[in-house]
Amino acid sequence: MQRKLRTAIIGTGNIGTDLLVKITRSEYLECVLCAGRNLNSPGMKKASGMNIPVSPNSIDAIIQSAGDIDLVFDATSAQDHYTNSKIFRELGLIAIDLTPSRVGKMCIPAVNMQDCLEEDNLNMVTCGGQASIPLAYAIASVNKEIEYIETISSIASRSAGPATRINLDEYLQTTEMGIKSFSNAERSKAILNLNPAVPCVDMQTTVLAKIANPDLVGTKEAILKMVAKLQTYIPGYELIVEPMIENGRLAVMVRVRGLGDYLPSFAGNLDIINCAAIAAAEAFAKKRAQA
Amino acid sequence: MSTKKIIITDPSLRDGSHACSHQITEEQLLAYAKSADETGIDYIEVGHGNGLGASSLQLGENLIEEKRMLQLARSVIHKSKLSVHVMPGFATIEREIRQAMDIGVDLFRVASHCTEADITMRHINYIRAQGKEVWGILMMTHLATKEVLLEEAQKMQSYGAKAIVLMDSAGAFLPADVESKIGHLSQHLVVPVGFHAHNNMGLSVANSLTAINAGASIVDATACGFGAGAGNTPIELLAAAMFQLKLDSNLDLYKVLETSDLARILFAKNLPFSNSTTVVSGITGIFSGFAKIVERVSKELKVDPKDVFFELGRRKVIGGQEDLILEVASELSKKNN
Amino acid sequence: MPSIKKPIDIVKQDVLNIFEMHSQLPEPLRNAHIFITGGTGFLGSWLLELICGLNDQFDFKIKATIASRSMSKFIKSHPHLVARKEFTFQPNDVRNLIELPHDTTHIIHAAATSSRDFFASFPTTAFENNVDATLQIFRRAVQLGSIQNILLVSSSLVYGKQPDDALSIAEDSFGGVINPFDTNSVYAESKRACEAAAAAFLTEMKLPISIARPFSFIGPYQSLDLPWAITNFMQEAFKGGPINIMTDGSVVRSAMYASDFANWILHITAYAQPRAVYNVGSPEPVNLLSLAKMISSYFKDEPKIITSSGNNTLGGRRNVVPNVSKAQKELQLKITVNMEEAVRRSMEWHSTNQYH
Repeated sequence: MQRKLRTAIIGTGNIGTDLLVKITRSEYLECVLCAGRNLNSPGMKKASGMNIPVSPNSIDAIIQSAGDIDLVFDATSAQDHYTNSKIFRELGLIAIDLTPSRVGKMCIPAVNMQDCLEEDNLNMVTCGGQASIPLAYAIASVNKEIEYIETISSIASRSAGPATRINLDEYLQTTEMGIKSFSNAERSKAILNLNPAVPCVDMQTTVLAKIANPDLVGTKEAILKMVAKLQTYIPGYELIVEPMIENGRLAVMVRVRGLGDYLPSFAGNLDIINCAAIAAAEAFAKKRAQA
Repeated sequence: MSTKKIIITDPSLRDGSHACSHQITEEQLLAYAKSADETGIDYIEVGHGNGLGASSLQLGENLIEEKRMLQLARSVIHKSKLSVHVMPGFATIEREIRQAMDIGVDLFRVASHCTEADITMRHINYIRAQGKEVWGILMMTHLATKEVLLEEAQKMQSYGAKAIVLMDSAGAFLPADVESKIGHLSQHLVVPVGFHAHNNMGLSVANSLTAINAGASIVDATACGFGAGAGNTPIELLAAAMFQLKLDSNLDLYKVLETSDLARILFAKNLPFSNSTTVVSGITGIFSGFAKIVERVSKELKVDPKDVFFELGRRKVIGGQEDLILEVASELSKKNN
Repeated sequence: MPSIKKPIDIVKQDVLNIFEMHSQLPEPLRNAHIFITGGTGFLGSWLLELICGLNDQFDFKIKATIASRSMSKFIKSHPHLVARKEFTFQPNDVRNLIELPHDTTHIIHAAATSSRDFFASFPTTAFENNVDATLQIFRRAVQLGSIQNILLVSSSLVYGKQPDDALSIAEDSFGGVINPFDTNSVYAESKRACEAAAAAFLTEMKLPISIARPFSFIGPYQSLDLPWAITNFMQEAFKGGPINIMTDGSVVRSAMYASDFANWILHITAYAQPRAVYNVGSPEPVNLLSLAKMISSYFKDEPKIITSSGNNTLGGRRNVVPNVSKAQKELQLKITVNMEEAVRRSMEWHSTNQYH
């Protein structure tokens, strides 16, 4: 049997730690290094407990072990990824970027994975992007000339960490750019709400579109197909309002529950971006196996 | 009552946007702003109901583009100051805030849900650094205790907000709530405290006066209550009560009354009123901006808007989650059939 | 008065009594999974006894996971609790836990290094133990999807020195400034730091944390080796006396009985809103001379009581009695065992357990 793709994680916060759990479950991936800064963080302790090599030397640890690594998941910050991405390229490592840096090509596995396999840096857009872009793409595959497309996500306040809170503007810009380019809409808009309700709400995402003569039957078919495809790598993805025309706008709505691997299950917003990152890494692993 | 001067903010051309599903016309805007500018109102707020960048399919699109709206207002507002409402999650610094600054907006009221003040840090910091006036707004404040509200207000104060306004966005406050929450903030904050009422229970004027009595020095009021749901504190009634109570402000009572008479004609078709829906909206604590959308969606899907409000209340939805109206209504309609 | 009862029977009777006398049960704890730190200490053991009672008598179906550093001792002293199916014991320092059970609904963080002699000699370790463990628990709780309440068991010492004429201490009695260089301050300061951490996690992470501030307690499972007035008196009395009151006897304290203590903690865990703070203790004041008399009267040959005149404070504090009206009013909590009865039952337990 072909060996698994050797991956490393840089950034051992909540996202990085949850990724680790998902990697160890994958048939195609193994984790050979968790690099961060604080050996006492829960993530580092968890990795050590799973007998995964850990290092507090962050990017330097990646440089040192580059020969044993095929792919790096970057779960640091946009700021750090600007620097890290150059180093990954020099080292010949594939980078999967979970920060909102927008350095690499935007990757939505259910939509453009094939086009991404020649890239060396993939950007996982945003949580709202991973939830909404496939829907926008499905809508665009049936309806030509989308005048305007919009996506609204509501997430549990407790699932929005300090980085999300400080980077709301970047989230909106990146999601807007993503939804626009994948749907070829003339204009786009993204909205994000943090809901503090207790018990915590699941992530919910709506896509609304202005289309001159929408094909509702075709849209419904395309959306159902897309949702089925997404569910293969995001088990908690669920269609809750089928495409409908209301007040002259096309509307469709989904809910995303997390797997509860390390992050709580209401944090579907964090889970979905990790699920997408794993799907992307597995695609690289499968491609290599065929080569 | 206190002898300090009360600052009056008039968001008729912002909160009123909800009342007419964001269809304020250029003529209405110009006529109202011109007239209000003569009344001694300190700040006139203009824009989409949910503030900068909120024109959307989810909430309803503006009839007049945001840029044009602000330019028009700027061209006729000279004595009052021009204010905008800013909600991070809708508005971004790069796009909406910069544009509003270029047009010459005087005051930015940066708002968040009452427990999420930290999302306003960057926006408040930025505006303050540009030398513009910035306030912090906490919305849906019936959903948090006075202790939580103080914590969140203190965050905004530490970012540089020069005043904090509590919004009773759902019209759910009783006078005792106003007294306890506004009183607590007035006691512990360095910056002035304000109150923004909705009239779902017919308490907007009483609540505004209670707020002043409890230490508020800023009050929001709109002409004929022109605002979301059952409307806001009617400025003509507030001005009259303040006149009787000898509360000091820059308002000229006659001019306020005249402006309200004008508004009654200008916005005749969309002036807010109480009905069973606005009452249920108030007691279930739902954001007043939901009213028009709930009405429309309920009619379309043939469900009782009151049921929709109760279900939304059970789900504890907050401002900005208007898309859930569609989900709740379609679920109810499935159940009914 | 020697008794034919076994010590465990006294505890069992206490558990039966508390549910009978306290009309209200901690209903929100039905089907809860409670994570308890310090679960094998005095409070911890009583929490477990009451949970058994709730499960056995009222079908509460509570599960508990108990983290403890002193399991080996506990296995010997409480075999009946160790054997229960609904309890999972983790013989581990809480700081080494990477994750809490994912379905945890409530946390009672009662682990603390509280013994005064340990603090005097090893203040750095003690400070670090208390603060670090609390931070780690909160950090891990952020990952819990169904957490409803995290109760930080703090201490009445956070209030600092109170005015001599203050008859009781309420939740906002922060008049007393603590001098950080006082040897005895380390414990109080570590608890204040834990409370500050709670406030930080509440506001930034939106964790539902509430706080209990316990005062003084008495009852079965309490070690008489603890250097507190009440435990000293009892220990001296069992040794035949004399009972040494280090003051003139007018110093006022109070003590809550163990079953009431645990019952209050369970109710606060069940019902407290985030940010709520409750004093936990007995509001019944007793001066140390009367307390010593209650203890000595338990014996046929009453041990002598020695007071030292001229000294009317203890540890610099004259009155330490909590005002618990907040818990009584907001959570309808009641005291079911008064001071005299608390002393009698405690004496009975100690006499059957350790000295006969």
